[in-house]
Amino acid sequence: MYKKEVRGELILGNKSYGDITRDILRSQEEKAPLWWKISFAVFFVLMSIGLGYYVPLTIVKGIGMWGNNNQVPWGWAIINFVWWIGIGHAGTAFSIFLLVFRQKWRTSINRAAEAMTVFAVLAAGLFPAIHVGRPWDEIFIFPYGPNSRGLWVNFNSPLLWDVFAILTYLTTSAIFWYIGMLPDFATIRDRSKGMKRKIFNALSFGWVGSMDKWRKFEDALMILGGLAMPLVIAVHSIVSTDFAAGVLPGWHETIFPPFFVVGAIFSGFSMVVTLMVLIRKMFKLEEYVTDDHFDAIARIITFVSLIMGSAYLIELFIAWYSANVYETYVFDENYLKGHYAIPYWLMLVFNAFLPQLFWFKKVRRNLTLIFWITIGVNIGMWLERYNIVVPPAAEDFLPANWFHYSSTIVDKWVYLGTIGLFGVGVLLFIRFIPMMAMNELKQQAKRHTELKPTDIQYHAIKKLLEDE
Amino acid sequence: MSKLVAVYNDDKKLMDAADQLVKAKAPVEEIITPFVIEELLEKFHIKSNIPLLAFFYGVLGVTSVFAALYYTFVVDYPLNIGGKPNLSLTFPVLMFIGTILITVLSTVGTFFVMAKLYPGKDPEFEYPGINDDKMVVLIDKSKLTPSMETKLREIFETTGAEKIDEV
Repeated sequence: MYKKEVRGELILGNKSYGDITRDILRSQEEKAPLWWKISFAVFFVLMSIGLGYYVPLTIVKGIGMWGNNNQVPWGWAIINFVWWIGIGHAGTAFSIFLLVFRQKWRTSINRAAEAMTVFAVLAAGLFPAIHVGRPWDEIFIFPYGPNSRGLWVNFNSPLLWDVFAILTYLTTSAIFWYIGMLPDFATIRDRSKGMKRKIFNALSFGWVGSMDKWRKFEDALMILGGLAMPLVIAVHSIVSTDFAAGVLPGWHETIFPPFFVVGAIFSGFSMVVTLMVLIRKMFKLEEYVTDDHFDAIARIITFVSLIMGSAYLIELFIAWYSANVYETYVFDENYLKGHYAIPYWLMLVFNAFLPQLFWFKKVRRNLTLIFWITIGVNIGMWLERYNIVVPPAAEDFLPANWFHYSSTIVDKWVYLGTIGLFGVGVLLFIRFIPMMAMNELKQQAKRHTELKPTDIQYHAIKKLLEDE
Repeated sequence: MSKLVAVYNDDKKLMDAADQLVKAKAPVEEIITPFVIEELLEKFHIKSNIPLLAFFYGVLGVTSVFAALYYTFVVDYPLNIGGKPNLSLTFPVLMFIGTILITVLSTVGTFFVMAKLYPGKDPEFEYPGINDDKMVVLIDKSKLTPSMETKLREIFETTGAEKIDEV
């Protein structure tokens, strides 16, 4: 439980319920600021070029447009896929873990984190969809009809689990996000007129905050949260088995499932922080996203960073301890001092060393440093996926086969296109949907008014009055 | 239908009123708040079956996914792998995911049906500020005796209702 006496107030400025509504809806009731229009234009151009030109180009001409080759069959597409899925875990990790553990400080941030999840998972889903080469044959992935091709799909394959896991995750996250927004849509409905009212009337499903509805709402959200929590662990464990079930040294590791899950939470939390720093600054929401919030998240990032650092060390140790020449080669020759030393060491710096600065309170309270460290973590996590996907495949068992990988312009633009998609999604979200859960913030404000003097305070006040 | 409406802008005052309404056995039709007040739900013993139903959906999910996998691998297209059927230990992965998917969809469907919410539905009750900063207590006037109405109005006034209204 969040203890205000220890960690400070969650909402500053002694806000009334009406103040909360006005502050949060300001972003959508006022005209779009210039920075929003410029950012939207930039992301929209990225999305249009990446997804509007280079994705169709890939589909029409084939995967040969990418840098993948026979030796490195998985390139940027899978790196980006795992990276986006990792970021997509932010919403659930943040929102649901903290909901289930009743960490009330999640309130100001959970909505944005959930929105990020949905857009990040959409971005992630694009890569496997186009990586199969012939997207029009994707229907064969699903076990449709009664054995229509004489064979069922291979339910033993991690790649098939991926399809089910990610679709389930996307569905669950989107539903969780949407249901949480019903009361806030009703608030907007009541404040609007004309077409806007009609739209939000449709979106709010006729919500009225009666006791019966609140009970069902709370129960349904808690159940969804409880179900999505193990799903987070399952989804990224499954993504990790895409590699761990392979025989390549550097992939065939039992540490992968927890390593991937923790990595996902790490990158997800970092992306949440990066965005929240910007949102707080741009919309002047310092009273809702306080320094204490960043302090709390920075502590979690430090802890997760230590786990990541330990996992890197364990990988190195096991490679040495196994005395397996191929395994040792990947870690010793390839990562530590070989062709891929630069991305490997950068990954260590960004993921394992830099976040340790959060041990210092001054750093945890400095938004500029927090912003750049979390950007570093996101770069570091991309590099980690690069290190997993490319080096083990490029230099495997037979030196005669070794072939290096370099991405093409198409790879880069498809990636930029998904960044555009994510950016456009997030910008539309902060413009048209309440970016913080107003009903939950009001609940926090309620707790604020409920603070009663402690016995010591009570007796001290009584004594003062008597003395007077 | 005529309703007596007491409007509050402070949840503490609302809770004081709720205490007295329960004691006076007032026929409270509904209390509408812009956010959940758990203490209020407890006071009026508001419960839902959603957690229990979700458990049954989970049981249904795990059995149906297992049945589907068993059918595909053992009944419909049986493979003999070293004398054993292809009843693989990897089943739990899809059973886990499938159970969650089935439970989530069923629970959400149940929530919408039980809460009577659907796209485009108009709100059942509208009053200025009820989804913003006002909390209202609704009393069905047809169930009130004149003396009870006087008593309730007194409760609302003494507990600091911002406004007492009729709709």
